[in-house]
Amino acid sequence: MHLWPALLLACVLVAAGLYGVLARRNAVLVLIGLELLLNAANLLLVTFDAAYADRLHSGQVMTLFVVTVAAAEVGVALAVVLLLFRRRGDVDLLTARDLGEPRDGSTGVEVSR
Amino acid sequence: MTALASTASDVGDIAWAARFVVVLPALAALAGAVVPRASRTAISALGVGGALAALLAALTELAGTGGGGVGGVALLGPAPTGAGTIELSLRADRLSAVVAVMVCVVALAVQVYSVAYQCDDRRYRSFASVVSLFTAAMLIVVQADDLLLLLIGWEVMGLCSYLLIGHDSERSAARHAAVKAFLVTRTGDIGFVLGIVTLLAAAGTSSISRLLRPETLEQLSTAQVTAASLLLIAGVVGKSAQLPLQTWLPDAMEGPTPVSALIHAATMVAAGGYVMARLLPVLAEAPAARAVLAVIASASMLAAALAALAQSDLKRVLAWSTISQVAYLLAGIAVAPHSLGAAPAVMQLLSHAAFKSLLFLCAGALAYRVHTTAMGRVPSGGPSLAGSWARSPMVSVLLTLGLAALAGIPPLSGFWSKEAVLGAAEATALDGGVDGAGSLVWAGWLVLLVGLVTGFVTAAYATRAWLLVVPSPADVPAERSGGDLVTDDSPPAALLPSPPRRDPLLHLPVPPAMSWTLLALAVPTVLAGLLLIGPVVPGEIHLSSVTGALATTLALAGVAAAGAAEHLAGQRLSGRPGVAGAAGRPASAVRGDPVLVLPPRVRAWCAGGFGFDALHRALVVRPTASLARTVTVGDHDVVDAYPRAGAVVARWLGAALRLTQTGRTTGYLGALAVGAVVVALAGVGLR
Repeated sequence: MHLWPALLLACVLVAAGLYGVLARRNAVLVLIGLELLLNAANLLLVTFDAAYADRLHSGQVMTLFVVTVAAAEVGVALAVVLLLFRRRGDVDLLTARDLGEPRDGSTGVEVSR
Repeated sequence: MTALASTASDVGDIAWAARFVVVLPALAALAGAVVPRASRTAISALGVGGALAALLAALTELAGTGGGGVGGVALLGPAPTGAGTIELSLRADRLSAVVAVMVCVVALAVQVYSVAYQCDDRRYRSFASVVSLFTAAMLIVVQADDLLLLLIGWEVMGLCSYLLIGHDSERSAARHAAVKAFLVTRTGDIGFVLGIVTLLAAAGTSSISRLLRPETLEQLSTAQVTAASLLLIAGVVGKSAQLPLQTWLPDAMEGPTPVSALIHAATMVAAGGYVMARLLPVLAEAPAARAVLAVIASASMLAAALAALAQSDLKRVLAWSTISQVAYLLAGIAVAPHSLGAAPAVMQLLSHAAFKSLLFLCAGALAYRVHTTAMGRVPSGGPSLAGSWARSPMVSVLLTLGLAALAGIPPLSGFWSKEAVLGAAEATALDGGVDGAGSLVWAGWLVLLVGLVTGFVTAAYATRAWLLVVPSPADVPAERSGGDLVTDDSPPAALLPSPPRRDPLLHLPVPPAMSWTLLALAVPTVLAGLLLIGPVVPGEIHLSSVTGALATTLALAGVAAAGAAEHLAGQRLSGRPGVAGAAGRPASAVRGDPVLVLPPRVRAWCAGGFGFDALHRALVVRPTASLARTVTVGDHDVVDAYPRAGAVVARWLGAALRLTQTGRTTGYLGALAVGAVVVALAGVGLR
């Protein structure tokens, strides 16, 4: 059995995921990019688990962990996105910069007071 | 341990008596801290009971030490240290028993007296328990057979004096006086601690019994003994308020009057003299130190008497007289020939305790209603003690007795003890070479002459105090009571605001707790001379008829001089318009303060304590304060600079890091991706 189709698929997934994370402005699409990255990692874990015939199947176990964590993460992330939409009316990450340092050079500490 | 000399059956009893003498007041002090603050009866019962129980124990000890004494009575058990064992033991002999009885009598008198005197005091509980602690500390000093135990008692006394002088801590004058007393005595204590360390290092033992054995003393070199004695004398000068560390004592009058009686008569001030008497064999090996002590004592004796002459406050007169009388005590130790030992000094210690506690408590009783201790006419027309005879004749009589004893009028206690000291000085001066104290002949003459002169001045200031306090100005109309006595060059009487009308409160009788205490203290004041000629005092007393006659003549001359000076001052005042003429009285009825015959500048110099306060300020206080300022500056600008620099650097780093916080999620994620690649490459490369 050859590894290269699986590795190629993983590379494509990572590339697509990175593009989604870095280039998209819509928060939901950024989340989808993150999911693609996670699934690329899952694919590699399963692939090498099969390739090395690990007796304990640690690659598969790890994948289950990642899937579980990803589900939880998506739950939190979608809640944040929902709140963002309710407050602002859009989910554009380039304009949602409230948590950044103020541009005018003030410390920001006074603002919170 | 060794029993000095005593039958075996007695030793146990005396040892237990000595332990009880020390422990009972300490227990009373401890219990005083836990009684409910509201129950004044319980508080005063504890204070009085503790002192009374200690007095009974001390009397038992005195009865048991007839044939000698016992050393090394275990109190806390031995304390092992790296370099040797410290016994922390007590000692019961004639000297400690006699002084312990005296301390307990005065402490009891003070406790009973303050039940009435401090009746308005909200902090009576702490007062009574600190007085008990003070008594316990003094009794530790008295009973200690161990230099370190003695030092413990000595230091606890310093603390208690601070607490009691500053008892009325609402007044800033009391707080300042307390701090001053603490710091000045502590300055002397530096020498005291070093002296004890020197003795410990030289003799190799902390036990006083072993230290005072002739064979131990022979091992010490003259240099060691002289150094130790001089250092101990420094501590004694501080505690006993001798020149040049006397300035704290007059200021300590800010404390309540019973505290003054305690400090002056029984505890703090007397402790210095007692320690010198206890360590007399060590001192005897160091003639140079004795000469220094004789000079210090002579200077203090005369200077303090002159200062007392010019005070306008009765308590301050008594404070200066304490310095003068304790100087007699120390002079007696400095020049006592070997054959007499510490007996003259101990006699002076006992009689001084009797008449000084009587005097202070009388002053308190007179001031109880008047709320002042000013004598004569106060320039602002305020209240004064003048005319005490009309208010409380009994206290006035007792005050007269105390002043007469202070002046050394023959049958009273002060006369005998002063004679004992002067007799010792005379013995050393005339045939000092006999028992090896030849180098002290000049010191003997010095003490003898200064003592005689001081006796004259003492009689003069005692008479002046009496004239300004007791006589009732009967020839004056009622509303002008006290108006005849002028204490200084104040404006004529007609221009002064009229004195306050007679307050009926002023004529209430003195509370019985106070009057009975005074009566009880008058007994030793009068009779102490007879008791002390007996075998009670360790050692012998040498009385000389020539010196005695001379001293008595001088004392009576002092009384007469004060009377004449009063008349003279009155004549001077009556020469002014508006003093006598306005009232239409004969000039002889006008009485002036006797000290007015002295030139004003001399008077001010004496009243201000000879500028020692200014000297201390220039020599000690200012350098210390500027050193403290330097240290503060160094701490702030050098040591603190490093932590402050850390804060500045952290702030800069934070400002740099803040630049990365853009709020652009994409940027964060990009940085994360780059970081992940870097970590992955590093992981592969470092494998």
